[in-house]
Amino acid sequence: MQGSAPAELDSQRTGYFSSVVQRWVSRRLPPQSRIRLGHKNVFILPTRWGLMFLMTVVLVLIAGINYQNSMILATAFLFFAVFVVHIHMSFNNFAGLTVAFHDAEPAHAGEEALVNLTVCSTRAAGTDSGSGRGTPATGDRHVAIQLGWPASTASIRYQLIHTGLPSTDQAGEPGSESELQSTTLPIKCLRRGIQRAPRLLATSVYPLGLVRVWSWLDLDIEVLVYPRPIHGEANGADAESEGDSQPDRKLRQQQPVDFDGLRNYELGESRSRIAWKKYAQQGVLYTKLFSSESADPVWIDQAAYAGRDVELQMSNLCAEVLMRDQGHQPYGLRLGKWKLAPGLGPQHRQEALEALARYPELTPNA
Amino acid sequence: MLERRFSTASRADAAGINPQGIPWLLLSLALAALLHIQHTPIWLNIALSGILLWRIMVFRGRFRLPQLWVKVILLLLGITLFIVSARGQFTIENAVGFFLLTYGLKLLETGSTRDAYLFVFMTLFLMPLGFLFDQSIFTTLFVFISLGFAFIALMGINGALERTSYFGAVKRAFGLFAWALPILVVAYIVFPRLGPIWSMPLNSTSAFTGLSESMMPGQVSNLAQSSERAFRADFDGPPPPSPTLYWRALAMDLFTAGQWSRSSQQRGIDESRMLPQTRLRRLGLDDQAIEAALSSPEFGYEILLDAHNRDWGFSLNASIPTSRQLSGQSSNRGGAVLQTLDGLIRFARPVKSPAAYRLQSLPFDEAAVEAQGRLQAAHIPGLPQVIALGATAGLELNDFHRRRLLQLPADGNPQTRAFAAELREKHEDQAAFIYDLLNHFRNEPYTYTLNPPVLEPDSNVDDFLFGARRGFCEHFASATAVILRAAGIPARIMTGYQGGEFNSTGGFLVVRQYDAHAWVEAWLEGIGWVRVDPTAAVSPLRIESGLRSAVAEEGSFLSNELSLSRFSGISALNWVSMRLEYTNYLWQKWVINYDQKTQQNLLSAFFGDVDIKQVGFIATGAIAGMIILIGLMQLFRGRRHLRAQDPVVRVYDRLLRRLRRAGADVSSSAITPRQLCGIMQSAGADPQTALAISQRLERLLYARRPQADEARARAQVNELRQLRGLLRKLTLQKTSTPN
Repeated sequence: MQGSAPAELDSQRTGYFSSVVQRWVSRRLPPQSRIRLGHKNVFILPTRWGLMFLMTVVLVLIAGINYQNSMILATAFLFFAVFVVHIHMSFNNFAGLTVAFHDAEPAHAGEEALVNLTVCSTRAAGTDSGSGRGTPATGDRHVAIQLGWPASTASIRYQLIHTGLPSTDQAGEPGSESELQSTTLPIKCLRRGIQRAPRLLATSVYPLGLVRVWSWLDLDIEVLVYPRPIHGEANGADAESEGDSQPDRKLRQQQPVDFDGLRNYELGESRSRIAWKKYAQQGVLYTKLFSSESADPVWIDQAAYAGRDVELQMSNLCAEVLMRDQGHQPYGLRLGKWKLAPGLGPQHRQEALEALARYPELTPNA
Repeated sequence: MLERRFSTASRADAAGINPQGIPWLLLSLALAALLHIQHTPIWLNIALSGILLWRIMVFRGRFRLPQLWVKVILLLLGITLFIVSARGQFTIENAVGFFLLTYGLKLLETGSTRDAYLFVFMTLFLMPLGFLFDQSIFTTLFVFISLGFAFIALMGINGALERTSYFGAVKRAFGLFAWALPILVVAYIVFPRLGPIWSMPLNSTSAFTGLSESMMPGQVSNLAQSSERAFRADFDGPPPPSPTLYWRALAMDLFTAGQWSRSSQQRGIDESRMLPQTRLRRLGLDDQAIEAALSSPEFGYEILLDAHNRDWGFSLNASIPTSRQLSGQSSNRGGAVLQTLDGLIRFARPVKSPAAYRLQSLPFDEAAVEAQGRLQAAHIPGLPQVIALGATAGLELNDFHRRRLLQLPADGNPQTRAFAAELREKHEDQAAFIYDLLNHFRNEPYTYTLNPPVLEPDSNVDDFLFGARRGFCEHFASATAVILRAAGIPARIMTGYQGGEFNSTGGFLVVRQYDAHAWVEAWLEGIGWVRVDPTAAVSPLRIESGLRSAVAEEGSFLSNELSLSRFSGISALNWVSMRLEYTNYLWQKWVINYDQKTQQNLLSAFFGDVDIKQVGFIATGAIAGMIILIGLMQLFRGRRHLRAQDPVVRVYDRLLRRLRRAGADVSSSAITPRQLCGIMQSAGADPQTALAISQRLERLLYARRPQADEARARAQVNELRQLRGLLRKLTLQKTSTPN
């Protein structure tokens, strides 16, 4: 159920608010990498159920006045008071929550990037501490808070990712001043490059659902978006050093024959290449090497894809990088006046992809 | 993991109600049905139980929610049954019943979160409707507790009950109420009490028991099966002895077909209501005497009336109302208190909620004392007195009224007429005649009983007097009035209550329906109005110690009712019921009857003279102030906890705050004292001081020793003092934030 519809970076912020409100919100809530919810950045309004509840209160009040009935009047006042306390409770449950941007795992355009956030309760300066009692009348703190990006402009309510902090009461552990929780939210990336995430919506209707508290958090989240890998024929493919035609390449990929030796397993390498037998014998993870991998490095050159749209170039380059990486063939990358020395491994791949993502904003090094 | 925790909540959004809300929704229905069970038809309650069971089975996964056609059929069936049982009357019971029916059916089709919210809002409206019937403290508690469960249901639907036990949920809801209570109380006190916005008829069939407009033998004895309270009387002085407490309500002068009722002339008298002053002036008192009468402090008493949906009140003879308005009926239109020419209390409109009014017993009427002396001459020892009522009891009779009060059907009850004529022959003196009649009742084998035989209306007096000889007060009163009229003595039936139970805890008198009584008032030449109570001759116990003792042998007291009153012979129970009664009395007196007038008085005591507009301002201000106060209290509650904590933690927090002010990054809350040392230094603190501080902090925070060890505890205190000293020496410089 989680992340029912990941937010799309592309929808940006234009849809939610009219530009005036938008400007007001950005003035009021400037971007910060770490935001503590408090009086300055929390908004409260009744939900539609809240409005209906208030209508009920008015009805009961009228009945009380009209029938001159003291206790019906008292009931109306009770409802009103509950509504008021609800506002306070909602706020107290919400405020003190600190959301910080930790990092974002890069992703290819069209995929979902995972944004890692840190959520913690910082009550030291405000309302709560070791007593383990948060919102009045409950032992819980920061319960039922939803955090996420609105999926579409139409609905901001239902397509949210939920988060919350455990109730210290229930868990039986003494409420320490802050409990760190990390939470990961997926976000859909459409375009290559560095994408700024739209404002995060943190919201809650705790406890009765009559009042919604929310805040728009601009955590200055930036996501690096790699190009979408698209296989494309290089210009004059035959002239390239590897000189393979497409079918051959595929064949090679499928059958990386010629066992060549072992080396220590690195995190991120394909599990299918782990020498499980060795692991069983020695308890150490080794990666099997095949003859093709020790072959001469290839250069992946932007020039080979010249003459097409830059985005397509990047996509093609990206596809090739991934292919070489999969095939365990060392590769170098040349983008205009920038180059990456040949190499292999996750680190190397990441550098290459990052360059592809950032192109053309690269410092020439060649 | 976090996401998984909320998966139930999001599932609820997508399909169906959050299951955590359902038990509480069902409980709400059960409680609402229970609250209204007394005034809704039995079939409806059976239907509601069925719906409840169905829903429980759905909840447990055995059944499914009904299909649309089933729901349509159920709705049509319900409405049909309703129309049949309501018999076309638009009464408040029927309205509530109908609402309850739709409410129950709503539960049957409650499948989504939206439905569940609507259902809860219906509950929130249905529960306070119970107050239309009863506003006692017990009903109030019942309703408010039920509302608590409705709010728990709301939490459940909203997904706020994740990982919460039932008990935890209850605690949470009533915690919410605890915070709401101060606002409720302030709002109740200051919210301006307005008159009704528009007039809504509130007809009721069974909700109100009490005297009826006419008296047919058999009716009062039905009433006597109810222990429901009619009113309470609170005397300024000690209450008069029970046998003198005849609470007058209705005078009936028309006797037709065995039934007593009010003729149009009597109604005319009842309706010519006037202010007490006017009435006293008509009785011939001058302004000074009126002033003296009204201000005499001696015999003031207050009647706290339970809603009976009638326009009549109760008073002792020779009393005048001193309240112009019923309290508890805040409207100006609602509750004028008036008095008829016969000295009976009338209100401008039926009393639909508990109300109160004050009365004043007039000082001794010398003419009445003299008349009493003359009656005394004819008194037969052992018989109850015939009491002279004085001028306030009714009109001076002219021919017209005399004819009215001598009216008898053209024929019927021949034996009675003959008996009256025969008795009249014997006595020239009217008083002697009456005493002889009472003597007849006492000496002949008449039985006072709650279970009188059913008599033929047209000849019921004959049948009673010479046949069955068993009857309740209305039989004796009716027979006496007929005999008096047949003998040429103007007489009327008076209905009301007699006696009452004194609540010694609260010092007030409780009058219940079983105290209902009927007696006779007759007009004697040269004496005026007198009260004749034949029941007192037949069953002196009834008048002296109440119905319970009078019918003790018969065992028929409240035989149809299971109530505390029935068992009040048991002293512990009696004590409990007295206490409860007293609590309720205080509740009604101070809470329910709080109205526009009391509000104005109260607020005037604080703010000087206030009018309704100013009450509005005060209300707004006070409620707003209360809301802010609650907010602040909630906000600072945590801070207070913080302060109350360990002094070491306090010192630590203060240090953190200082560092933050100096611009150091201490936002990560998991800072150890060792890290603090570095931070302090980067904030420009002297390295040695910083080290000393962090070392001491570390020791104090982590090397705790049991407090029981006194020497060590003292050492700790010392160390803390040193730490504080060091902190005073600590100087920090503003640094640029490194983040």
